[in-house]
Amino acid sequence: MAIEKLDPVLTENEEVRKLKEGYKYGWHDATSYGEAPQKGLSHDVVDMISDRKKEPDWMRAKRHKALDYFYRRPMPSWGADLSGIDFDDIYYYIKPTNQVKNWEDMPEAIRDTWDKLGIPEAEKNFLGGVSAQYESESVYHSTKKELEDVGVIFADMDTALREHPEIVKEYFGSIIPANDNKFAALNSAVWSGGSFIWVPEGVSVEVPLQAYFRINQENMGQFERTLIICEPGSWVHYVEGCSAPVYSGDSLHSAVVEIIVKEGARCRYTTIQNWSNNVYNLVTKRAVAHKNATMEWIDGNIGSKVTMKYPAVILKGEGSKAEILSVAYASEGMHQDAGAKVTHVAPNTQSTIVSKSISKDGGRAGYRGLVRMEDGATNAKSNVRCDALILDEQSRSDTYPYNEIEEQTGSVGHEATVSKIGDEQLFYLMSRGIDESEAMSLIVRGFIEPITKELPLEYAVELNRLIELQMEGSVG
Amino acid sequence: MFTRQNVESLSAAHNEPSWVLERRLLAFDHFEKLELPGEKEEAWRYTNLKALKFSFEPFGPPAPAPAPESVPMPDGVIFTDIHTAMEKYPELLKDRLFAEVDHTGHIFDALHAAFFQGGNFLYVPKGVSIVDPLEVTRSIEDGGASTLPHSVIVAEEGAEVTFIERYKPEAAGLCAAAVEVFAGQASRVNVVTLQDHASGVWHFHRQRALIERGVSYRSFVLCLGARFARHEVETVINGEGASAQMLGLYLAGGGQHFDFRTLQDHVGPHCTSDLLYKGVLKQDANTVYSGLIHVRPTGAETDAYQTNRNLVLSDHARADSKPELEIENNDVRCSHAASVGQIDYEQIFYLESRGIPRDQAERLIVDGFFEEVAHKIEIPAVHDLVVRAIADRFDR
Repeated sequence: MAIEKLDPVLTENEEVRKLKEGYKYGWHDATSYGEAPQKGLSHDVVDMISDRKKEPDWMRAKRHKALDYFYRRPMPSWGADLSGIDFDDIYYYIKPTNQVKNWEDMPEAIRDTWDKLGIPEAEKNFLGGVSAQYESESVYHSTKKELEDVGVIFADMDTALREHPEIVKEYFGSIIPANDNKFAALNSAVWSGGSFIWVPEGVSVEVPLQAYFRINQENMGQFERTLIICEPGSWVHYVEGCSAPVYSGDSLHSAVVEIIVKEGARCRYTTIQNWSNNVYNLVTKRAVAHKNATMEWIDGNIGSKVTMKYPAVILKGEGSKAEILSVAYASEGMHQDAGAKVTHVAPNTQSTIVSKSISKDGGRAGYRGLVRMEDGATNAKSNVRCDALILDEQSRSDTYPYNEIEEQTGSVGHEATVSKIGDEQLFYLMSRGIDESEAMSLIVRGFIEPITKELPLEYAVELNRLIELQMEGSVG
Repeated sequence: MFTRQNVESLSAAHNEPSWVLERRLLAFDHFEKLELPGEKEEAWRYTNLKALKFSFEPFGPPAPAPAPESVPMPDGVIFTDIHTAMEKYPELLKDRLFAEVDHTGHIFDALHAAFFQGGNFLYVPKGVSIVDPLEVTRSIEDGGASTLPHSVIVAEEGAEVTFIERYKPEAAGLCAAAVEVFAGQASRVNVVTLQDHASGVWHFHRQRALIERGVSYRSFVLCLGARFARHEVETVINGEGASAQMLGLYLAGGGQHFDFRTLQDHVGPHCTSDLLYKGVLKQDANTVYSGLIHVRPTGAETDAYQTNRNLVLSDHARADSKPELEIENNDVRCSHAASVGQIDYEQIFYLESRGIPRDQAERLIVDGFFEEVAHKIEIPAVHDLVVRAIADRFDR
């Protein structure tokens, strides 16, 4: 066999080179981390993290308990293939540098990355606050003064635990307990970084708050933990983005996001996930909406090797609403197992789920979702719409919707379609002088339009551009 | 009880050839290793079988001889019971028995394959049409007994036939039935299942059809009876240009749990399948629908549709619906839809404003809801039977 005779380094480069095609965030910095980080997971690692962070005992105890849950739980037997994850071959904690409040104070190699990602530029132009996480820690954090003045707290999770322990203690793990699932347990054991947002009663945060998550190291495990609390009548829009270098060794990103939306408040959480094709992205996201509150998840999954993520809303208060918009794009070597979950507990609750998935070059994209109406959720309404586009013969689309209805007056409707790009649409555009590749790209952009139109302009442009980049060369 | 010794004596009682006994014993070995499926298994997620005890007598009364020999049949048509067919037509049966439904699935498949008794063999030769439906009736006549009929239906090229299997309400017990359908090129085959068991019955039903090029196949399931009924209806659309219609109607009342599992497996190109399952839930009824459209990489130009609609008439009922798609070819048109809801109050209001009392108005709406499926049966006698059976149950 010719391949076996090749220098292993050369084959690896070839593999990396192939992965890098069409992915423009695939560089990595030559950062030195002071002391050499250690791979592997154990109770000692948990203690090390807790020691470094000088955490209170209750958090340390929570972590150890969570690690036991993690050890006890089997790997999920459904969804994507996770057999490639080697828990012993992952760095669970790397502290790259101390957090700074000015980009200039950051080590140059790391600052370079943020410049290339355009974060400082975006901050100047349209954001109310920025948190930038690099490996395990938030290395930059700032909030506009106007927001601090009205009492909005936007901090990284470690800072929040130090400065607002009473709020963190009250809500941490209250929506997603450590034993919720294997990866929530892992996150609860080794979490580091993530965002903490507390919006006071009646305050509207008119500009988005953003966090960006960057992995730099090969075989990194990033486990950020985010907690958002919207007090009654408040409003906040939180945006997160992410990317990583291209390596042949796989990384693991396993976040937990908990959101509490109190009476009459509204929270929108937007994700543009663009991990490189060697990241397992296994994330648990769940919100609770109280009386007349609104929770919105806008979830764009463009990257990663495997994503299993189903943003959830529990409609606990009467008249609360959930809206979930999901885009999944899978090309070669990618499996996007995306979706949404809504549980209707209270009367007169409403939910809407719109999912658009695109698969190409042997990729597999799908929707897995749950709509549950509990007894007593009178007059609850839910509407689910899933559309899938398969761009070539090698690719695959799956739809797995679960509808569980215990309430007579509840009504749920689910519809899904799967198709290829219509020959007639293509023919029409090409007869107008548009070449095939551009025509396909236009159709795909039109297909995801219901979601891009909900994004802030900058992100809509970015999402369209990412899709376009991925579409390049899709016609032979 | 379901013992190995009983497998052997059952086989001996029917003078079965050795190849049948071998298959039974293989299935029995498998049966012994299996346990009742639990809610942790995806295929049984919404179904709890804890109340089921395997204390049934494997030897219920022998299934009534179903072959109406007196009805004149066209030349070459075979319609007989499965045991007669083993003896007289092994060349037609041997390669088909358990080819589509075997013992390797869940515990009830294994149980069925080890202890099956009764059931029919229907063979329609090339080009022969049988206009009138062929009907068989089954029931459990002694309380606590079991009936495990296995039927094999073969339609050769261009043949036409309708097979109706009726389960009538008699006594409580266990029923584990299987129907294997082999539809040859360009044949037209209807398989109708009318399940109206007594209320104490546990009913497990598997029906799987392999349909070839240019076939027009229709399956219809009416599910009214039994405390627990699981109908697994699978169609493998194997040949080019074949079409399958899969219809289901159910009315679930107090203490009943129905669990439907369907598969539209598209292997061949240029095929269509259209599935419509509709149900009404009363009192504390539970219903589960889970279905999959699977388009294989070879299934180019597939049109496949799947719809499940549930009308909930009571606040104590629960409906779970899980319509799934796995699409591995891009040149397809596939869609599915599921809904669960109550009667539209505006429709009631409209009818009441025309002087129709409320209970009658409700009834009219339910009848209309069922009729969307019932009228697709296209066999007047069966349509009437279905409408009457639903009306009887509804008024009970």
